[in-house]
Amino acid sequence: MTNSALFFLLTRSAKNSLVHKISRLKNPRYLLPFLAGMAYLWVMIGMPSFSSNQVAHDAESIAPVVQSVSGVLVLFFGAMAWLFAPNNPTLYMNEAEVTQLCTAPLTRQQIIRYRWMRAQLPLLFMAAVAFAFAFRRPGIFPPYASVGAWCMVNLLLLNGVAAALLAGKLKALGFGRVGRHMPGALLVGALVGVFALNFTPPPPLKQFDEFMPWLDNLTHSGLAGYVLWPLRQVTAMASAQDLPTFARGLCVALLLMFALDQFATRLNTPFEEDALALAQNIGRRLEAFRTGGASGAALAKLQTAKPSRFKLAEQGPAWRAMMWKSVIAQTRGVSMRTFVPFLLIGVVLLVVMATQGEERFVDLAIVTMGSVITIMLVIAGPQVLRNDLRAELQRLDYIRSLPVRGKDILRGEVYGSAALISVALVLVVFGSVFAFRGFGFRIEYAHRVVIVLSAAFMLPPVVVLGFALENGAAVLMPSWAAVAPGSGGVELVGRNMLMTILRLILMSLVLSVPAGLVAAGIAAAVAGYRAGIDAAAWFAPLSALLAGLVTMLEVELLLAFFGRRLENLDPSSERF
Amino acid sequence: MAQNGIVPSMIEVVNLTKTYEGTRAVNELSFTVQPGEVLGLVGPNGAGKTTTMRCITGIIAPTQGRVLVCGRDIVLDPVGAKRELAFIPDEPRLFEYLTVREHLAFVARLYGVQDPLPKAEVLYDELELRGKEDALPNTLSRGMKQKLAIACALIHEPRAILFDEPLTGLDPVAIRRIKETIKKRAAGGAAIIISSHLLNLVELIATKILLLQHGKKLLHGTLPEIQAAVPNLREDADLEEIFMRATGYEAPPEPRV
Repeated sequence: MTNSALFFLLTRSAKNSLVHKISRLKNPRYLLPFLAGMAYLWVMIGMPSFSSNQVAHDAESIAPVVQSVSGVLVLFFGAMAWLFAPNNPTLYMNEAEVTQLCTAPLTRQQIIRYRWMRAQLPLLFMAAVAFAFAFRRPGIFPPYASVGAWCMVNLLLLNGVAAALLAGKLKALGFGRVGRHMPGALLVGALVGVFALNFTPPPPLKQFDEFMPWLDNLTHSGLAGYVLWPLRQVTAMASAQDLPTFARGLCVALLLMFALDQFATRLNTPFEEDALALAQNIGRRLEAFRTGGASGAALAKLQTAKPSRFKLAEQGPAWRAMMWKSVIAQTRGVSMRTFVPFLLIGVVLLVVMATQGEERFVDLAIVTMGSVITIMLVIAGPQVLRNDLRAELQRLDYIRSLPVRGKDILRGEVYGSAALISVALVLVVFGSVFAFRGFGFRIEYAHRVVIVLSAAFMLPPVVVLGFALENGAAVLMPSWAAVAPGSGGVELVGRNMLMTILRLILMSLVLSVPAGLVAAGIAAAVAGYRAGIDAAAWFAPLSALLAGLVTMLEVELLLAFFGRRLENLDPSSERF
Repeated sequence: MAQNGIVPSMIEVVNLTKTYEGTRAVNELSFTVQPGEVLGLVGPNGAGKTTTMRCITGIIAPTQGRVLVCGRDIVLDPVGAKRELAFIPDEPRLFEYLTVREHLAFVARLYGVQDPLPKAEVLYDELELRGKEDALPNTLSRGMKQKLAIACALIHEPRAILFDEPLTGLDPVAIRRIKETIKKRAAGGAAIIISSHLLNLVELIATKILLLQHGKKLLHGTLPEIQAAVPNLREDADLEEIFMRATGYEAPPEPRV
């Protein structure tokens, strides 16, 4: 009876959700992002490509390597789940589920299995995407690809649940933090030992022909070969060329999933308390992310906060108070730990490149990293950091009640957010330009200063413009700028894409005059340099300064326009 | 049901203690609630009211002590105990994509309710949900959501009902409706616990009052009993005055010379 009730909950919720999402497509606000998102998905996964036989042959020849690497990755992520299980939530449910199901006459086994069943909806969508991806791609059989992907993700999911429930059980039995980490530490230690037996130093990347035998020795021979065998069978399913390979992988996957399910459900871990705390926490963070983006989510994690390093003068213009509030909103959730993963990736990339024995590899890494980070900050920054007027739309009636002009509200919000991205940009450009060794050519320090100054004069105004346009969109089309409850997946991708395209078009229009100035400055600098006038290089930063000032003037005009619209915006007329 | 004239308790809390990282949210709390009794659980913020309710419903496990619902231990026999129990949290937690009708159908099946349709029909009328049967929760006002949460809790005719701040954010009509519902269930023999900061409401519908502070029982009994337990109190002192005096927020009056 109770199992049928849970099945009813799953199927009816899915059906109603689908009907609700389809019926709201009548509204252009939802239809346009949906169509854009579908177009994006089609371009990314659905378009036929790689149709040549040569590509199919190549794909077939590297299949064993792909399977080995996938097997190692699955093992790595699986082992990490056990190692970090004490830090992870025991079982995630939303607040309605905790309140209704944990107080209902249901066993823990039923709730755990319900939770697994609920996760199947997105996983089935993922399997459908895998099917579409494999379609028309030679060498991949779509049904095998979709079932293979489904099995692999489910295996990782169940593995994570089992690990978390064991950690929860140990906690309930009174084990301390060290004791709870022991099973994971022992597992990881054993795996490291197994692979250490086969380990030899890897060949350089440029000797790719030697890399395959090295990987083969590491993953196929000795004890490691036996440990990885089941996972290789599972990862081979997606690219299986024949039924026996697929069936073998499926049997192994189902056996592993059954074993993990039995382990997880027989533990009888008291997960309810953790589930409640997590549900409340996630609910809060999702709402914060929905309104405030990445910085909103980071802010929602905080329980307490130290006084800000940014001090607000007791007297001064109102927009500076707004800017101070915006800076605090964007920075309070950020700590040095936020940057550790990026620094680690950068250091690893540089070390790998530096050990290849050629200087140009290091330069290539610096140029690539510097360019990618700069472009990401300029293009994605205004969309990721949303803790400005877009987050304030929820309390627009309060914002409108403040004795501050609309223009000043916007100015404070925009400059506060843009200041942080600008500082990061200038630091990235400074670091990249001074670390770059010129691919073997000597670059004068004066010229490096010229480049950094040019970037420092021009990039911050461009970032300010990006934030001004995003906040302007929030004023002109509030219901578009705010992420609607229940939005996600294809619709959210499409919405973000449309907003970015619109912003880039507007930016290119606004920046046409400043870009002309910069181009003229660079042309003058190059011409002067060719004519032997060293000082001509300074035309570039001068033109960038002029272009920056023109951009700021344009931003001020835009803020004045958006500010007037903000003053006339009726908080009750829009559903945020 | 009663043996030797003693009515068995519907809810029995024995030496309940709940500790969070060294802090005792609830400290050796014991009380019982009999059939037909409405226990008003009051106390300042952080007194341990919600933690107590969550321990009784099995959402969180007690660090020490026992909780029995209709004689069944919530830790040892959670399914049996929860079958007799209903919990209405302060915020209505509803499934986003189930309609009003589907919520009731789901809960009825979860609890194995026989013949649920007529019971749902009665609840639609009693809680003024008629006409909203096919609405999704996000289209309902807060008051309607709260009424739906209450309807879900009542459809299996529980013998022990726990309300956590049931009247927050409701309009006067809804408040009256829900007060009537609570009284009706108590008259039908259910044991009810209401946690609320609305002291006049508690005074009006509770048959007994349990005042908590720092996780400990400060006062427990009927209104006259707890009045008598607080020294230097006016004869006609209401629950608010008792609360203020017992929790130390208001000093006793200076003795008249």
